[in-house]
Amino acid sequence: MDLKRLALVGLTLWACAPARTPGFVSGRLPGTDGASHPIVDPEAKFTVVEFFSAHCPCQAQHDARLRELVKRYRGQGIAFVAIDSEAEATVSRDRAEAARRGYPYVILVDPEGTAARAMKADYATYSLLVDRAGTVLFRGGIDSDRSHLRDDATPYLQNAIDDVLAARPVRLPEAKTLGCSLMLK
Amino acid sequence: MSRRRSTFVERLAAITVLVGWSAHANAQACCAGTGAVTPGRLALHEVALVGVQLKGAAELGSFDARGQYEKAPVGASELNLEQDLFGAIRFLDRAQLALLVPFVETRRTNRAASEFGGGLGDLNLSLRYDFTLAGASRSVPGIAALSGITFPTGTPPDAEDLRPLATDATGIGAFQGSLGLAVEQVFGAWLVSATGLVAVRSARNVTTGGVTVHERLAPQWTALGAVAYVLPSEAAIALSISYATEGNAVIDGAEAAGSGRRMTTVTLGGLLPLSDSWRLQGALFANPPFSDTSRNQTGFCGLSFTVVHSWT
Repeated sequence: MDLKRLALVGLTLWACAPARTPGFVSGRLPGTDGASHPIVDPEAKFTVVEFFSAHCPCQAQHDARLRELVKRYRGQGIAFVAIDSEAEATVSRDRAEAARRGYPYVILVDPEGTAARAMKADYATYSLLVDRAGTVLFRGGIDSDRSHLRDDATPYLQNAIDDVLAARPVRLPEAKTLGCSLMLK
Repeated sequence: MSRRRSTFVERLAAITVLVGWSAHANAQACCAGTGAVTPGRLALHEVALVGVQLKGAAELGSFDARGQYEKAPVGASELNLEQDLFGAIRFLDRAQLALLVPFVETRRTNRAASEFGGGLGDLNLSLRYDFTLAGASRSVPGIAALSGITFPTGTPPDAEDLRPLATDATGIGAFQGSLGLAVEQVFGAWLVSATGLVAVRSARNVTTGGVTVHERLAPQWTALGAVAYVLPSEAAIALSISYATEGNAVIDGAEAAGSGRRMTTVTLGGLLPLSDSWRLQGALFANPPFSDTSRNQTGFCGLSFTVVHSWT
């Protein structure tokens, strides 16, 4: 294979490769259960990372949909985790929020906003679907609704999960997030 | 005079309101707070909106050139109505363009006559660019640049063939350009905003009674402060105070003493989101009938009602 063809193949592979989030945080953060957790669950096929805001009405409206997603997919190798990167995030506050909202997963507490900045999360409910290697397969809103939820909303995150579980390309790898601004430090 | 002046200030207030209030509204209130004051600004997640605002205001009195307030004389009354069609579109992530098309009507009565007239007012095009967003950082507030231009599409008060009480005067007769800066920040469910604007008007020739003079109005400076509270349901209430002031006009190269103006307006507004794409807004506004709060202005009290449809 000559150099030109090699370069062409390389460029093609680069262009077709799934996007990796620049600076994706591979470290650990303290969780509302008192333990330290990796952001990407190494034992799950895929991890859903959702950016949480304790104050955002859009977040509150989506609590039920998040619980529903966990119920549907946790048994299929999908892990869920939320991250609170807002300046006022504390373990105790988020523990109370997780309990009040009935979250069946931990909230990782990141008051320095490191994870949000690294993952380019600007808005509450911004979610990523990530594989074990840290490759981001989907990023964006949970669905096409903001705070007044409708039955005919497009379930972006659910569709992405269905696609990766079916081993097919994600139909919409990036979607708009309709949540509040995350107030970072 | 009073009609022309109040119309001008109302236009400027409309510009301020159209581009000056944060639509992003509330990090912790997700976008509702801004609409409590201004219906014409896109929330961060919105790409376009259209709306209609209905306004009605009754004249209660007037402020003279020294700022002394006098109640309207017995037998005299004025009712100002306005229907504003507006739209806004986002053309960059941080930039939005808005158009306001006002229709203005006046019912004016004195001891001898009563008259109703109106028509198209002065169109306004405004631009907003958000350098930073309210609620995105605890230490850096939202900062935005504002600009606007108003076109003299209305009927000026010196137009020929006006009715006797000039109720069909709907504009100021001059172009005006404005520049401003808005700063806003979110504190939990509260949004606090401060906006400053300066507007300059083109010079023009004014003919009255067969005499033509060259008139240039002084630049007008406007400050707007507002605070909004957003409920968990995303319904919001807001209180804003605006203060506009300008120096004396220059007529044929000479300053016209006593022609400067100032106006203070207090607005209490509320917003009710019906869905993610429809919202209602209402407001009660007035300039306080206290001497020195306004000058060369009418004193009024009014209501507005707005319906907005947006797209994300």
